[in-house]
Amino acid sequence: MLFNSVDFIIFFVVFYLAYRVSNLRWQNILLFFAGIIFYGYWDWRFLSLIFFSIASDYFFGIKIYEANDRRRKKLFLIGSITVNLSLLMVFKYYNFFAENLIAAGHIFGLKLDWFTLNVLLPIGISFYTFQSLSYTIDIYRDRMPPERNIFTFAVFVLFFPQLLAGPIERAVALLPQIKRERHITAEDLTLGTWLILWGYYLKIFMADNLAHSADLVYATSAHPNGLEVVLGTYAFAFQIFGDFAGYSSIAIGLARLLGFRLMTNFLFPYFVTNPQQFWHNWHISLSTWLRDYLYISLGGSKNGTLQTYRNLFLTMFLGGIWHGANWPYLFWGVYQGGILIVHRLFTSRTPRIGQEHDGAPAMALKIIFMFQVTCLGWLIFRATSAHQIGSLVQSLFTSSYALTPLAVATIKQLVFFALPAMLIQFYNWRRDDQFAILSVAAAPKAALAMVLLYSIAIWGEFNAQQFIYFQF
Amino acid sequence: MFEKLVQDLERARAMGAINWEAFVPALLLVVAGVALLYYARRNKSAYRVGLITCGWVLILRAALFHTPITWYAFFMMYTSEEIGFRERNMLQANIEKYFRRSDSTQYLVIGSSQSRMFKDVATENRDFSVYSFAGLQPIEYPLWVSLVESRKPRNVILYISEFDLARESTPAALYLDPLPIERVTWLYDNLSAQHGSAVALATVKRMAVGALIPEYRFGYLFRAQTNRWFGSPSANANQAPRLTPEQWAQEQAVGLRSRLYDKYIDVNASLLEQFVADCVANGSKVYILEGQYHPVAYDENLRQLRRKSHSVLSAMAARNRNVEFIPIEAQPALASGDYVDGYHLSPESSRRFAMALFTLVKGS
Repeated sequence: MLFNSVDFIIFFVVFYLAYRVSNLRWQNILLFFAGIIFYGYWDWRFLSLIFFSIASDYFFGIKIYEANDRRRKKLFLIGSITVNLSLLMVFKYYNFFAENLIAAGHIFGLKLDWFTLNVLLPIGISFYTFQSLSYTIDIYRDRMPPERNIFTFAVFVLFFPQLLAGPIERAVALLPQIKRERHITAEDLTLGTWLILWGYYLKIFMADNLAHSADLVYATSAHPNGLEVVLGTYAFAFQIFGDFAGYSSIAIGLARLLGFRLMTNFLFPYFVTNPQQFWHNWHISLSTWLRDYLYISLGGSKNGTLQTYRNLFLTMFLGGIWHGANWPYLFWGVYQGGILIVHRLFTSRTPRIGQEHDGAPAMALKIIFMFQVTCLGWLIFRATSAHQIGSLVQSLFTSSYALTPLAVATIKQLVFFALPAMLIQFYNWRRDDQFAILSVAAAPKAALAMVLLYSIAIWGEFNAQQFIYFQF
Repeated sequence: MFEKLVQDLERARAMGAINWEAFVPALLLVVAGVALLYYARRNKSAYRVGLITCGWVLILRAALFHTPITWYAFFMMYTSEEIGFRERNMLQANIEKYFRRSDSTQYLVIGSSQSRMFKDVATENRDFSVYSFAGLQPIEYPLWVSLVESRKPRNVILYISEFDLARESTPAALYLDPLPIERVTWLYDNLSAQHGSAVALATVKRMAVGALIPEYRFGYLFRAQTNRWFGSPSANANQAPRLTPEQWAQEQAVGLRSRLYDKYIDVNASLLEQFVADCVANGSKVYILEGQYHPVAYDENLRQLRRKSHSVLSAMAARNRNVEFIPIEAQPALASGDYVDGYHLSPESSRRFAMALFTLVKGS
């Protein structure tokens, strides 16, 4: 079920009315069935996959905890990782590797007879497998005891606000909230409503409308000039931000209405001055997951400069692949790893670059520069093939920068659809508070809410466009 | 601009007295909005912003979608090319609901853009109303039953042919129509039968959202404004050369031949019959005028479709009390020169032909 569909709104209203009049036990029962309906609405057959994941991680969690020695604990942890990654491998990566091996075989004159699977990618699989994995790894690291009640554990995995596209919540933060009495305050209701409204605005008004501009430039039949590539990529940068931050905002807002606190997933990611900051502010639940469970497991920055660079590179490379099995995501991961290493190199040799106490003009220049660096990454990410990456980059450097009608239209669309959201982000960023805008007086706040509502209703695309991150 | 305004005011005066009942929704919205704002002034809780927002939304909704002035402003601002022909017809219908043309409507014409030819007749006869919605399909007629219920016309005139009956319905256009609550299941069942339950459900949901949120239903007005600001590069790229009426008719004839099928006639006729039955139940006499289009379009296949639709419509008239079918043979003859394109008559021919049809209806 999509957040931006009429079905979901009806579903949530009915669910919420029942939820509010229920006690904790019944609230959890409702959450469990809501998760099943929410996920099964897309394709009920894939529910078995989630149930399998729940059962295996529940089992491994207890086994890891109860194992007497470290070796046995490790064995069970490997079991959990193998099961989870196998699911990902089969449904997400198998076809990619099989197709590329067949293609590679052709180059060397070998006729490989690998078969490809004709299956859909289960929606949200990367999110819930990572969430489940964090549970077993945290038990292995003695950060938490296992959940003994399989029903409670199922509610944790099936928690519908963040089931399909995160935030990838840690068991250590979410499980206790499932088990304790929830008190929904007026602040929860107002903040939750604001987050939902803001999320819908980002997704329906900003992202879905800018998608048309980006699609025109990234269509395989298009031959854009340099300026059109730049503007189309800016459009995509705001589209993907609106799409994903919008989803996260709706998820966090819905959870807040239910009395849950989820982690912040995006914090002014386009107002950063370097790649390291970008990853502290963009898809925070994934970047911290990769840091805690991959980068640190590889040794982090403890074993010398070269090892640190290798760990950084590997983490970002795998982070790229996490997004999906295709070459552009893989190159994007390499690019992100590369720019993080370059940034580290520069900051270690010229420490002034790392200082944050610049004046406003220098800060603005750094932010603008970093935005270009980010956008170059988005170009790689959005491209449909390695060949398209090449031709778009070539356009950037060799094609003309003439102001075509498409370029003019894209500029106007960026101003209309992206600038208002960015101004609100800027206001909040300057005050270092993502809810700063809510501290204004009631009348301007109501005016802002009305503008957001009207923008959604009038310019909204209500044909329930999928969220980009559902495919990951 | 000012002259046009004066002319239109004159025309509005000619349309008759103001229909005060049509202002009731606006009044209710404003009262509810003001009440919310008043309550919000006294309320210091966290929900105050929500109350103020709702109050303003209701007042703005009343101002934007429930006054003849704003409908007229929208009508003046946008051309049919910018917002769509049907959409502009809707604006016209929305303006007209604020006027009571006469105490009793004698004749009411409802139909697709071809029915627009009756506009001159309506201008000269205050008891004659025309509701012409571009591309109106048989499945949509029963959704407009409220027009018949509110105007209570003595006679309802339909201009219909295989041009309407032999065409597959397109659910995407339905979101502009009203959705009477008693027609929801009827619509769902009929759409399901033709397009499957998924399309039917999506269409009904879209219409329900449009009925609840006019900002969404009439969002095309605001999108047209942004389209003006942004320009449309794809439209620039695909500018078609201007065609002569004959060329245009030829092109549309090709389209007609590929779009009309025998298999749709019976199902569309049964949908239309629902509307005819509604009219009769409402005490109106129904005249089904057999429609026609540019002679250049007719090939053997279309002639065959014409024969079938002719027999279906005449059978419908025979089956229903108070329904009369007026076939082409009883109507004045039309030639190629009367048309400006494949389906529409020139202004002079429209006037002459519609007057003749009106005389025919009055005399029958």
